[in-house]
Amino acid sequence: MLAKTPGFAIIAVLTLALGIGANSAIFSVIDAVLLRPLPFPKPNELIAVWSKVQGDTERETGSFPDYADIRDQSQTVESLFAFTRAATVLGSGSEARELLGIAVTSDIFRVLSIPPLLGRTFTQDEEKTDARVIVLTYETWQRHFNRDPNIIGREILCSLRAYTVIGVMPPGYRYPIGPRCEYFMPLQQLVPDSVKNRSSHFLRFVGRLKPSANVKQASAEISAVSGRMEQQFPDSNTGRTYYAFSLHHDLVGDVRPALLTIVSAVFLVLLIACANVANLLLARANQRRREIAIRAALGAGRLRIVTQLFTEGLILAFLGACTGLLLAWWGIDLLRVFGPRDVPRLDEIQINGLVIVFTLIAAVISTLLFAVFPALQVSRPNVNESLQEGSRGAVGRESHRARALLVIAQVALSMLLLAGAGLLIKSFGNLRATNPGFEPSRVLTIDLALPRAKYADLPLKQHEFFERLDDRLRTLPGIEAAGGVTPLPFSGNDRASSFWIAGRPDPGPGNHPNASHLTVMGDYFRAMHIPLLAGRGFDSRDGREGVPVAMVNEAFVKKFFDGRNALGRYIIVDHAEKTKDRPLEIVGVVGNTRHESLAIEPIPEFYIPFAQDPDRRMYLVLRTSSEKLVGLENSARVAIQDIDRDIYVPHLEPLEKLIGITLAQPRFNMMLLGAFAAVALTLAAIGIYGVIAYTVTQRTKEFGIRMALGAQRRDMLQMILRQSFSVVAIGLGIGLLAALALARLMTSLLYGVSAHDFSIYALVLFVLSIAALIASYLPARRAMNVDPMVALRYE
Amino acid sequence: MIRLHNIERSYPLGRGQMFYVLRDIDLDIAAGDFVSVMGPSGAGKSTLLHILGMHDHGWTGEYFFDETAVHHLKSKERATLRNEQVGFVFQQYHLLDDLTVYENLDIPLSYRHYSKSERAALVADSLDRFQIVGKKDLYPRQLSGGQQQLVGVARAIIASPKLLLADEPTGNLHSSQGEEIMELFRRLNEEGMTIVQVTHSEKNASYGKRIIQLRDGWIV
Ligand SMILES: Nc1ncnc2c1ncn2[C@@H]1O[C@H](COP(=O)(O)OP(=O)(O)OP(=O)(O)O)[C@@H](O)[C@H]1O
Ligand SMILES: [Mg+2]
Repeated sequence: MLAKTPGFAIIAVLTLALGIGANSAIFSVIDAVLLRPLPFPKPNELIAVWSKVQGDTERETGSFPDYADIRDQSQTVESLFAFTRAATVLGSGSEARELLGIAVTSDIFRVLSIPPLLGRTFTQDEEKTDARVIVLTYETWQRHFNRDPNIIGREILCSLRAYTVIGVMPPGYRYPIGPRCEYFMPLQQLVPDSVKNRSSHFLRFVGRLKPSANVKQASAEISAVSGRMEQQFPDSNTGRTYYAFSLHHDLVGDVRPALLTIVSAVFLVLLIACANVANLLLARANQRRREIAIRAALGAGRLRIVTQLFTEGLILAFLGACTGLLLAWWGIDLLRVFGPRDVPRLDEIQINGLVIVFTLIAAVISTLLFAVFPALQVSRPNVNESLQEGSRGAVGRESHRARALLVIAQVALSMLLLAGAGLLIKSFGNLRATNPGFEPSRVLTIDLALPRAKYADLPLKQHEFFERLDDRLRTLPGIEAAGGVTPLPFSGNDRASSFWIAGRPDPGPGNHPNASHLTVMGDYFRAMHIPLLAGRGFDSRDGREGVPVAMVNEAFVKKFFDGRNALGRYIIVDHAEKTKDRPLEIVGVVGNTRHESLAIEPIPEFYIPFAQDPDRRMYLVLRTSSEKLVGLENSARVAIQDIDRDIYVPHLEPLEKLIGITLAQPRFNMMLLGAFAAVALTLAAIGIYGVIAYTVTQRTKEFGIRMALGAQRRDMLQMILRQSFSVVAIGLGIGLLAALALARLMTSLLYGVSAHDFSIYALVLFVLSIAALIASYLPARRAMNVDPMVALRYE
Repeated sequence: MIRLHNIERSYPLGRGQMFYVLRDIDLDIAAGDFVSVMGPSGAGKSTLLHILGMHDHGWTGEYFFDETAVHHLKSKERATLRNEQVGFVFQQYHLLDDLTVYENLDIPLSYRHYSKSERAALVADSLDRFQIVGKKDLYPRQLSGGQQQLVGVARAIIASPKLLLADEPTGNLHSSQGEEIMELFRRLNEEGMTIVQVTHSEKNASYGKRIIQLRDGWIV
């Protein structure tokens, strides 16, 4: 039957392929990101431990002493490790390569419970000694050491220090489960001072529960431990509570709302595709009604006819599913390329058995969805009527109603998708138009970290290096202004310090407020085009021996000085060994900048001059005079290595690119939903077109009669458009109500636009109406041109 | 009112051959005339009527309607002229299956400049006149053939056309009903409506003022 009408079959299969393929592709993402268990034994026992501070955000990092207390006191947690991301430079000179890894306590190997492939892992005792050891991932061993079989015991140079390789982990082993984790180093060796400081909250904790415990118990117990710490160490721990939740949830919690939105969207696309195929089948079933009626008269049971319809449907769906898998396979490649990096495990997406099973289930469900209409219709034909009346009569009206229902459904579903896409597009537009508080174009940055081996804990030396570098940088050709900052906005790093305002009654260190703490060097504000609003900028007065000073941003003045004058006031930054806990005089106020992402409002910030707060790491910020400065990277490298040839110089990164990375997730959501909405709109338009075109051919005789009775061309056109729109309008109405109800679920994905934004809904209604109008007009034109004579003879 | 000159209508037979349904038709019909067209089956009567009704345009020759040269009109202009002047009774009734009797009667009015209330009044009048008030909510398939024909006639005259073209309007009617229709036509004709009817019955033809005989496409 299908072979006899290849055109019909091809259109049906392609439509289904589009719907099923999109679902398979998205399901493969869900599978990799949400469903697949973490790649460690007994993954359900793994937990993440975070802290939260009163009045502050959740999921704060913690300090090493807190970590040690929780680890030692908890009864429900079998083991717990603390880590921080780290980077090191492997080798030296022109051979140098940057590796990203983690500095971690030895417990990681117990928590994750996977033995090394080669050698051994480090021990708790080893952490406390000076014996520098490193464990490599399999991939690092492969890429950088050519799978050297004698790697164990070999000494390698990491940031100018000799480390002994003691182990290589099996393939795929890494933590965090992001794209890059290339080695494991003992934490305490790397930052011996920070680990002693209970106020230094720079660590993330991950643990494994005892088999008898559950996450809830563990969280309660950990909170209890942190309560005791609060009593014991009020200076550092007041208001800070630790808590736990499942590691899997921790990893995917952030992307879940976006993924669920996308899943709903892609499912709607499948529904619309099914509605289209149902329409095609209905039209065909109608043409075959006489055949079916004759068969029924000849004794074919109803069941047999319905079975035949479903079998045909299944064949279509199966072909659609196969083609769809092919589409999904391409789609996944696109997802891997365009997907945002911060979606965990995106690189693990693949078409596996589960995805294929899902696809087949989707095909079966589709069949049920699209074959049920024609099956219902033919399963209770009045045999007599069909035989007598040929192609018209009550059954014709009934199938007309079924087709109208399908159009209503398609329009409503498209309305939902378009509204969702519209909201995301407007959000994204708002996000991009958001002023970060500085001018990112033509600003290049270098993330420069001085090697620990030569510069750690040597503030004088750090200062001297950057001082000289600053002088060199500003003289490079094509540089309008040069400076440095740490941490750089949009670099993914931030730093907060608690402080107090001199002269106010002190509530005790634990109750001090936090503000973003930035260290700046050279012409940072001028290079970034951050405006100076009051007072002065840092200059030569603010050297190492000068009066300690600070600048603050507008948000800081607003929050801590009620927007009144802050110049001449003093802040005392807690635990600021470098400034020797001396009060800093506020000498200037600058404009607000956004730091973590464009979506996050500026927060209070204070800036300290580099000379008074030296650091081993600085982001160099270079404002160039033209878009593309040839040779700048090289001249910057020469400038840096002239001062110290042991310093590894990473590539220049345009600031705009860094901002772009923070836009990747919303852009991805927008693109995906936009694509689905476009597909939905197209399918719905095709659906409307199909129904109207079919109706027009079915009603040719009626049109001829009407014309003979005085109807003119515009009467015919009006009639068809009116009938089409009476159906479309119902779909629009239902879709509008559903969209208004469901858009609220998207709120967390929206920025600067209400879920009920009037202009979006108006625009979407307009777009859909225009699409429906075009889709109806094209076939309606044929009705206008019906030759009454031909139509009257038409039978 | 109508002047046909050298009208010919043919269909291709294949192999380059043509089958002529109408040949060299010259015909004048004055305003207020009442013409009966007669002839054997297949003679081309319906074809002629469809040409007069401007449904068909696959013919050659000249057709003047009043002063208008129909043979030069575009299909859109013909539709306008038809709308303004012509009422048509189809040999096969051609009622719309999905509409009730009432709605079928309303169709011609809906395409002309009548207000809602005028339309309702005219349909009510018509239902009355043809004694089918009781059937107004029925669908064509619920009517007998004769009843359908009555509705077809009622529908043709409801918008008071200047020219009424009726293709065997009484073919399926009981003779007394047929007579009533013929009386109605006579009255309408006296009021000024020009009528062309096709009929097989001498008796019906006698209601007209003159008879045209068609045979194999020729007027004889
Ligand atoms: N579309 C067509 N193609 C070919 N021949 C046609 C077509 N339409 C009509 N004819 C032929 O034209 C001739 C005249 O048909 P017409 O319907 O005008 O006859 P009639 O005089 O009305 O007959 P009746 O009394 O049976 O209604 C017939 O021989 C018919 O076969
Ligand atoms: Mg005839």
